[in-house]
Amino acid sequence: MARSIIVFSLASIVALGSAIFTITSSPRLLKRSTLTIVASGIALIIFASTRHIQLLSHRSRKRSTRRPNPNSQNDRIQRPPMDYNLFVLGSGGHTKEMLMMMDDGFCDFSHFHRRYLISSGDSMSENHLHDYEESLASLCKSRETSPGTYDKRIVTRARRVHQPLWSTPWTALLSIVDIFPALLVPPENEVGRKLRYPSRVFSNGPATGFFVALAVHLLKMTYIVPESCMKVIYIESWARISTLSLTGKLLLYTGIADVFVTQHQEVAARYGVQNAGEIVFNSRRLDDIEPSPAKC
Amino acid sequence: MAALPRNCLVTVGATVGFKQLTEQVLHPAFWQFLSSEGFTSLRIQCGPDISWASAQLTSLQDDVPQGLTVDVFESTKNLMKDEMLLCKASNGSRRNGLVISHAGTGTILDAWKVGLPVIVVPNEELLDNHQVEMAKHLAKEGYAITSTASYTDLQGAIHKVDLLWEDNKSRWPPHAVKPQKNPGGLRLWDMHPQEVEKEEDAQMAND
Repeated sequence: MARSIIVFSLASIVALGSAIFTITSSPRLLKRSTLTIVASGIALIIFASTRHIQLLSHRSRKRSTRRPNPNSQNDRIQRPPMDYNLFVLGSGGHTKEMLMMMDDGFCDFSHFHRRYLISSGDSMSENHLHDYEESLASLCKSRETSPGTYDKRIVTRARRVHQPLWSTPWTALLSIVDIFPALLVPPENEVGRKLRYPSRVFSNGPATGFFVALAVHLLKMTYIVPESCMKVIYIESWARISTLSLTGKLLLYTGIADVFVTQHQEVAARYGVQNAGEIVFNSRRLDDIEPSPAKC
Repeated sequence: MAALPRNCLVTVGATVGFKQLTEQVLHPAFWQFLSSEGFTSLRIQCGPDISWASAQLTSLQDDVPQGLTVDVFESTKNLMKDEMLLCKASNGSRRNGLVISHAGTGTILDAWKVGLPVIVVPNEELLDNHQVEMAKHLAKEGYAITSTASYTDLQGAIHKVDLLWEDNKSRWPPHAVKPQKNPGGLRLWDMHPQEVEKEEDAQMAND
C-alpha cells in the first residue's frame, strides 16, 4: 500500500514536471501538455488526500491518551531509555501553563533532550523557561539524577495577540518556514545523533501550535518523517473552561493531533474529547521547592 | 510585641487595566479596614491607569492610616518574583498576606504556586472575555474567593478568604506525597497516543 502510493506520487510529479518542461520548450504542444498537467495535478491531489486519510486512520479515533496500567507498581508508563521531546511555547500565559505541567517533580531525564520553540520577541517565555530549567537542574541535583539536555529554537510568531485574522496567513507562512528546520535538524548532542526526530511534540494552545502540527502532518504525508515519530500531543489550555480555543478547534476538526485532551470536564463533554484533569496543578509549589516549616 | 508585616498585593493585569478596581482599593475606608486586619502594606499594580492612580494617592496621602503604607506602580517584569514573594509568610518575620487579582489565569496560577490566598475580581466590562467564567470556576473549586469591584464586597471577601485558606491547608498540604494531587488526573510526561489495535480490541470486547 505505502509503496504503491509513493510510486504513484512520484509518477505524477514526473509527469507534471515533464509537462511544464514541454510547455516552456515548445508552445505548439500547449494543448496536449495542459492536459498532462491537469491529469498529473489530479493525481497529486488524489495522492495527498489518500495519504491524509491513511494517516488519520492510523490514529486512535478518540485521540485519548494511554492510561498508566493501574496494576503496575510504580503507576507509570515506562519511558524509553533515550528520548527527545519538543515543546511549543506560546505567549506568556501558555508558556507558564506548559512549564507548570512539566514541573511535576519528574526528574528521570538521563539521555533526554527537550527542545523548546519560542516565538520571536517573546522574552517573557524565555525568562520563564530559564527559571524552569534552573529549578529542574537543582531538583535533579538533589535527587542525584541527570537533568538531561535542552535547546531553544526561535520561530516567527504565527499570530500576535489581537492581530487581525486576514493577515494571519502571511505571518503564519513565515512561521512555518522556521518551523521545518526546528523539527528536522537534530540536537547537537548524543541524543541527537541517535534520534533524528522528536518522539513527541507538546502544545497547549498558541497559534504556533497548530502550524507545528500542520508541518508535522506534511512531513509525514511526504514520507520524510516516519509516522512513529513526532506524535502531536495537544493539551487545551487550563483557561478554556467551556469552549475550545481556535487552535484547539482547528486541531480537532482537522484531526492532525495524535492526543487531544482538555483540562475541564465541561469543554471535554461539549466536544466529545478526553478530560485529563487540571494538569497545571501537578506543578510543584514554592513550599515543595523551598521548604519553609513555620507558619504564622 | 510589634505586629509582623503583612502585605496585600492588588494586580489588574499589564495591558488593559481595571480602573474600577483601582479606584475602590484607593478608598481611605478600605485602607482603614486593611489596617484593622493587620495589614502593613498595600501595593497596587495598576497598569495604564498609573498616572491617575498616583495623583489620587498623592491627594489622599493624609488619609493613609498609621502603620499602613500604600504604593502604586505600573507593572513589573516578573510579578511573582518581584511582588508575590513579598506577600508570602516568612518564618518569624512576615505574616501570610493576600493577593487581590483580576481573573487573569497567569496571576492566579502564580498565586497558587506561591501559596497565597487569592480574591478574584472579574472585570465585567471586558466582553467576549472569559474572566467571569474563570472566576466562577475558581470559586466552585475552592481555589479562590470572588468579589465585585467594590470595597465593601472586598472586605467581606477578605474575611472569607481566611477561612478558605484554613480549609485548603488540608486539601493541598505542602510536601504532599507525589505524584497525584488531583486523583484520576494525568501527568504530562505519561501522555502517549493510544495504540489503535488495542482500542479496537477494547471496543469489540465492549460490544
